[in-house]
Amino acid sequence: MSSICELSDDLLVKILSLVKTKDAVATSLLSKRWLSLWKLVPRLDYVTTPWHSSDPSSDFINNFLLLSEAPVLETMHLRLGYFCKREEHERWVEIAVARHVRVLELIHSTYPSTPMPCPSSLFTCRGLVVLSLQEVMIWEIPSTIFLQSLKTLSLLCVRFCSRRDDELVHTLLSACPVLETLVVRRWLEDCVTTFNIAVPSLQSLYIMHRPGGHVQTDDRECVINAPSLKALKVSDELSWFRLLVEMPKLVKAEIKIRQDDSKKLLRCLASAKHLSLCVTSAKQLLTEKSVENLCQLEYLELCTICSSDWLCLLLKHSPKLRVLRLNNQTSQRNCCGSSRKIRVKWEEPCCVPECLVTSLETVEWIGYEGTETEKEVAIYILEKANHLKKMTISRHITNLREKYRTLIDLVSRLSCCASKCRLEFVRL
Amino acid sequence: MSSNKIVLTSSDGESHEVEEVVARKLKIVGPMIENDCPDKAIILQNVTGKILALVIEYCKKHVDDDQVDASEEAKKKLKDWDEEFMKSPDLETFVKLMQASNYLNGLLGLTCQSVEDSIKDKSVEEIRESFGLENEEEEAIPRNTLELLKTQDLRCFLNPNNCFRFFL
Repeated sequence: MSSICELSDDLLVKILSLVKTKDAVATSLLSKRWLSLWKLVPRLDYVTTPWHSSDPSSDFINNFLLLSEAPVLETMHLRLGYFCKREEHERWVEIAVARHVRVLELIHSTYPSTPMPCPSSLFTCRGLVVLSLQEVMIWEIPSTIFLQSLKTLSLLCVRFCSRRDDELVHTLLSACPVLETLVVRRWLEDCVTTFNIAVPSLQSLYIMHRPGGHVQTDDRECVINAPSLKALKVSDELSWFRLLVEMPKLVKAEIKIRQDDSKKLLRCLASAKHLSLCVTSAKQLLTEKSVENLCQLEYLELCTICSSDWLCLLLKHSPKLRVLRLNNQTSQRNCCGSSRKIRVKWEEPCCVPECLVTSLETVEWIGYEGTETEKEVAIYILEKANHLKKMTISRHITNLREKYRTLIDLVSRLSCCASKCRLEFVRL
Repeated sequence: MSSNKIVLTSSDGESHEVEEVVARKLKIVGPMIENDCPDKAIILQNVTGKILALVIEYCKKHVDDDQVDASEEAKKKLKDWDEEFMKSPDLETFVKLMQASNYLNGLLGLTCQSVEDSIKDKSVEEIRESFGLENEEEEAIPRNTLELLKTQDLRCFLNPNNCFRFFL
């Protein structure tokens, strides 16, 4: 009679490393063979149940660390709540560091938020490759900090308390020579005015939107100096955002921000093949010169609520454009915060943009409202785009008649004979 | 180069001719091709013919895995195929398949994943059943050890449901 127990210890431990620690330990009940196998698993994960009246997390984590016989503790994921004591937390991190942890996640979640002080032993963990912190407070960083292997860093709602303005962020980031991925989520209480991200090795940056329903804009800033960046995603519309250098390796950029200097912004994003823009700012002066380097663009998404003025210029200077997506969504959580309420002002360009003639294949219009200007734009594209395969219009409708009216309005005004393009309607 | 055929031979003499790119999905094969003469058949000592046939079937299906352009539909179909593939063998074949995947260093992710699925969120009895441990009297933990486990600090680890159902 064959059984899984015939497999080697190595293989069984490999399998146990895939399941949650709770389940792995429970296998000690299966048979003699399994009694101590879980102790060799180099991984600890614990998620607290916040509604538990007596929090067993201390016991669990303490006992695991005590009984574990794995030569190295590779991964530690802790999701903790109220009952976590500072001294215990510090001890756990020290143990993890001493046991050569490579992936460390310290996620705290309390309401009202009381960030957990970050143990300084963390900063001298040489083997650390992935670090994820949430609701943690960084008081001081030892001068011996050197995170030489850190490739991925996640700072979600982290508070930096320092005497001199904003130095802690800089100290932390400059101690990571091989950092490739950075995820940041700012919040009201991060005590940082200018979040300076100057990381020469950085390849991927994601600045998440602020938690909660804050609508207050403020004078805080995010300044980026990352010349090796390949992917950029920014969804923070409440702080100012500045790009300092051009990024020649950039492939994809999704930007949803307030912005002062659009010219500089577009110049830095010039190499992108995939661009998504939602830029609400006071001045929108965009000249030919600032857009002329954008010739690599293949996919463009534009928020028509705030950035629609740029449509003409962008079409003109993106000869390789294949997909165009116009976003007019007003009802989503992440919708545009612009108060300008300027709709697309359309002037037919004097000569047909090259992308319409040679490359544009797909157009999507989300939140189409059927205004005159929108119809003009849609018809212009339908008529002039020789290679257009599909145009999809998504609109809020209450009955089918509105759907047909939208389509007929467009089709009836098309002057040329049947184009090869498919016109589709999707109900929002 | 791309239509190079490699012959893989099992421990009991069954031979299968496959394309080089399919054979290379098994990481153990790469160095063997480079070191030995590529014309010689590769003998896989620890794998029987029946198991080798299954492994090759998997490799052929996954030969295009590295292509990034797969559509969502294609990915889902492949995932469904993987699930069926893992469900069909009986326990004995499955164990041999796991050992083979470890030795050949290929399809390990899938085999480990399917064992993980039989542990995750299951009661101890259910796990014992899927692992083929029901009739293993000598493998069972002696009563006194169980009692010890109950009282020890390990209690904080174990889901109470698991413990009590087992002791009954």
